[in-house]
Amino acid sequence: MRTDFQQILATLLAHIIGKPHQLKLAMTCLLAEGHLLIEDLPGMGKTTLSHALARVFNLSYSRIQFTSDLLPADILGVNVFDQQKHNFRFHSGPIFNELILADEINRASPKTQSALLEAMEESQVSLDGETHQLPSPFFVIATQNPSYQSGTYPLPESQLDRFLMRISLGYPSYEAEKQMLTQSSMKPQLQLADTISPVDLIDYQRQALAVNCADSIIHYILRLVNKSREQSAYPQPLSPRASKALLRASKAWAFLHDRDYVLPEDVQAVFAAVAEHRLKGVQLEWGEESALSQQLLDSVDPLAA
Amino acid sequence: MMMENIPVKGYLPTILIALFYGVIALSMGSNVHFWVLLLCGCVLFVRLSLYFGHNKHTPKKRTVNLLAVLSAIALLTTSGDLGLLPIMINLLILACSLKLMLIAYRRDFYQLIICATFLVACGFILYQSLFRSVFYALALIFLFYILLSAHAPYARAKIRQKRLAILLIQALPVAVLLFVFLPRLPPLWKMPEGKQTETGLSETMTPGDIAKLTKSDKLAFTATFDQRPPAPQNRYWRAFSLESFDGKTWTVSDTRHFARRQLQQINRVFTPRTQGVAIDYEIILEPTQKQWLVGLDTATPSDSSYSQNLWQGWDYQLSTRKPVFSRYAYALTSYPNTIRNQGIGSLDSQVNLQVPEQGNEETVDWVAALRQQHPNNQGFAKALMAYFKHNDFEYTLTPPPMTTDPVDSFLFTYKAGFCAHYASAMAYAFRLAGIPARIVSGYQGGTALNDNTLSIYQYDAHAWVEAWIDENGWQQFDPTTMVAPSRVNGGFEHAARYSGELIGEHPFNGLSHQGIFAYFSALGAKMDYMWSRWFLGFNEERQTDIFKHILGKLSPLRIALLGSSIILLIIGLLTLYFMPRRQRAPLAEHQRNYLTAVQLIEKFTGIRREDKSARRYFATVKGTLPDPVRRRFLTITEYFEHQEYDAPDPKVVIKTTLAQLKTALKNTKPILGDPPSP
Repeated sequence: MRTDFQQILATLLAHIIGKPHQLKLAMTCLLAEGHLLIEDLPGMGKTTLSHALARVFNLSYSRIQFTSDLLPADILGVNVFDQQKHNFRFHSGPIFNELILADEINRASPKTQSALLEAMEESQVSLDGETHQLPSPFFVIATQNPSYQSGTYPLPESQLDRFLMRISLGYPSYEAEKQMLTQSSMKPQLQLADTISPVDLIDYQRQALAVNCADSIIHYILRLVNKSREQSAYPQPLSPRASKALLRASKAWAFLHDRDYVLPEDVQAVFAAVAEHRLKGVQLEWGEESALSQQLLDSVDPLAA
Repeated sequence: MMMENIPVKGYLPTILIALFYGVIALSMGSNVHFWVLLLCGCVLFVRLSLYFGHNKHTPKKRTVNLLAVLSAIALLTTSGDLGLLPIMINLLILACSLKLMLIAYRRDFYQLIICATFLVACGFILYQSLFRSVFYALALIFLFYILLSAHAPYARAKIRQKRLAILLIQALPVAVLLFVFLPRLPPLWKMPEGKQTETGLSETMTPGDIAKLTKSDKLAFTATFDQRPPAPQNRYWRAFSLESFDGKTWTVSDTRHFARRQLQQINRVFTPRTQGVAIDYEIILEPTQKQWLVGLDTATPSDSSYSQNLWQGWDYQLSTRKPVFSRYAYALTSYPNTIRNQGIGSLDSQVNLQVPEQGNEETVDWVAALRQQHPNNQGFAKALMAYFKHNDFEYTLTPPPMTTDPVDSFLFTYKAGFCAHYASAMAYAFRLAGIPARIVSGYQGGTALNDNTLSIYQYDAHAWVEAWIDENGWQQFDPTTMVAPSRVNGGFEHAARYSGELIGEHPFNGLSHQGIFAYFSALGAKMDYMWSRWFLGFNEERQTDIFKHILGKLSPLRIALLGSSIILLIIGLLTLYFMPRRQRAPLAEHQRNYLTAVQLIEKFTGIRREDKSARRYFATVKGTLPDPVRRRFLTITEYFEHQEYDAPDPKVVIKTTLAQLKTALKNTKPILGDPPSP
């Protein structure tokens, strides 16, 4: 792993104890210019994670708490009439920040959800014929409660696809939780030395995209997605968007590990996070995560030419 | 294989399989204990409450173990009267039901599926009618559907159905090939006997016994004639003879039984001298659990191939060498005009003249008087028949009980009874007069299914008398005809209806003979018959016919060739199906080198690469490798990774490292013991 990322990870681990893999996935997601969906029960540290990420990468941060009466304008902003200048002035909403935490996204109405997702996809907001560019880097962390909880509008499959990864933090281990309880009184402050500027981040994102990916890796990814299309065990086969996402995430993971070429391990490491929500869709079974993606991984030989 | 967990909640296949067990257990009727059915119901309930999340955990293992012990004890104590096969079926259902409560891994689930297929096969052993077969075939298809939904829990129902249909259609030709062509090997083990239900004729006859039987409308057998079947009054289907009489009860003679066993052992067969017209026909006998076979007198096996399985006794009785546990088809040729006078052995005369030493005094005196009037044997027989005709005897299915001196009270007090009473009295009288006589138990009549086929039901059971009249040999007498000619001419049903005894016993009895009901019951019987004839009756002989048709002359070599070529054909079809479709591109040099190294390491450590990537495989085996080997294998792995995933550099050569690896491996002894799990 690159030393600067190593440090960042250590800093993050002080806040989110005992979840190095999820933290690395979140950083990978950021490096791959994707968006992250965290699916978890309340109180598992989703907010802490996004907050810490914003701090270490020095990103401007806003948190939008989604509720059932939230309107698109509450996110995107509104045009307000200026009495003195006699014209409309754009009052930007909380989405104009570099890191957005869309908390409990499945509590909002589908209309509001799609407003956010559109902005994510286009990196811009169109309002009354005017287009406003979103900042860059732009990173959305959306959190979602398990879909069976009442009063929720679970994201449809077509929108789940917009998120590069879906992870869930899950309960901490016994040891980790003990550590968390003993140190909770004095949270170590993030030191500025550990941070990376947004300009650096953009540069890193560019480098991650340039990681070399050999033909055999492309074939491996193709074998994986094709397997999901051939077998009836997978209700929703992986789309081309999924294979693109898989490639981007694998490259970012390789870059995070200070390698300028992709290994099958990189694909395998990100596969569950990238593919599981696309394979399974909304039929989320709580507690048996990664079953389908693991099956798929197990059935494909990374070496076969 | 990894131990894959099955979710407790909301996993539909577990419900389906629990339901499946319940239905199959229910379908086996009286073969399964009622409490076992209850247990199946409980299991379904448990699974349902788990499915809907009312309960979070499967029952504790300890609870289920206790249940298992209790049910084993219950099974031991309640199964006294069941046969071995039903007990085993009960045991299987019990074990599977208990397992169903605990099911946690996918492995368990597959076990249950396999046991369920086994249960379906047991169902086929117990019942073979067409409708049962269709039911069990559907059950099997449903089972495959469950298996498929366990495999692809998120696939849509339509996809599953399509998949299932494709698989079944693919399996069909294989099944047909196996069924028609694979030589039938003799079973390697003996099937445990089914429940000893008295479905057929009883081997003892106490007048009063057959009345119970006559009410059963189960099929006994069907007979298909090459020409028109004989007239109703000539259809006496001999099953076996009752030769031992103790004053009340006629039983199969022990002496005869013993003699038959000995003769079978030394392989001596009686061949009757046949005369006159021959009638060819084929019989499909329902399971009797006994060895006797039915046939019209005088029956001989019509094909020499049958004679290996059939055995003709000196009492003109046909039997099989093994009891008939499932429907049995055989072809016979009967010569009704044969005079059966092939000598009367000392055994015959001894057995057929035996009378009890006391009892039935009145009859003894009466026979003595009658014998004085008719010293001629033929005349005596005529006088006996005439006595029944002219003394106001009555044919009834519900005669009064006759417990002491039954022949006396029948002949002189009540004068009412059915075939068993008449036959018993007459055979006894013959014996008292010194004429060898015995009772033949069998069936009389039959309902025409079509022009050439007769269905004979259990209510057609009948008993008549056979006596050795001088040079005519064994001659048949049916005293019942003297009293109720309609019993023989119009069949049992006719006679019973005539005497007004069958109607009113069952509200639907009358219905089955009217209009659409008659049509459907006839259609059902016809379909069932076709099923038995062409499917169940497809035995070695039929198969041999087909072989002959294909191969011409039969020899063990040819049959073996045919069998193995069929198996090869099936294997070929399967390989065609499973053969990987993609063609491998030629390997690059670095890939070849790496795979060579992997093969060496696999051989050395015993840990296979399977689907691991290069780096993971190295991590897996590195602990078991001695240092020099590990170093070289690491170099090769790294080389492979660079060549494969980074920039391929043709200048790097690995040949020397590979050679070094080989020598390093040669110099170390292979590690003994189990490879560590990955």
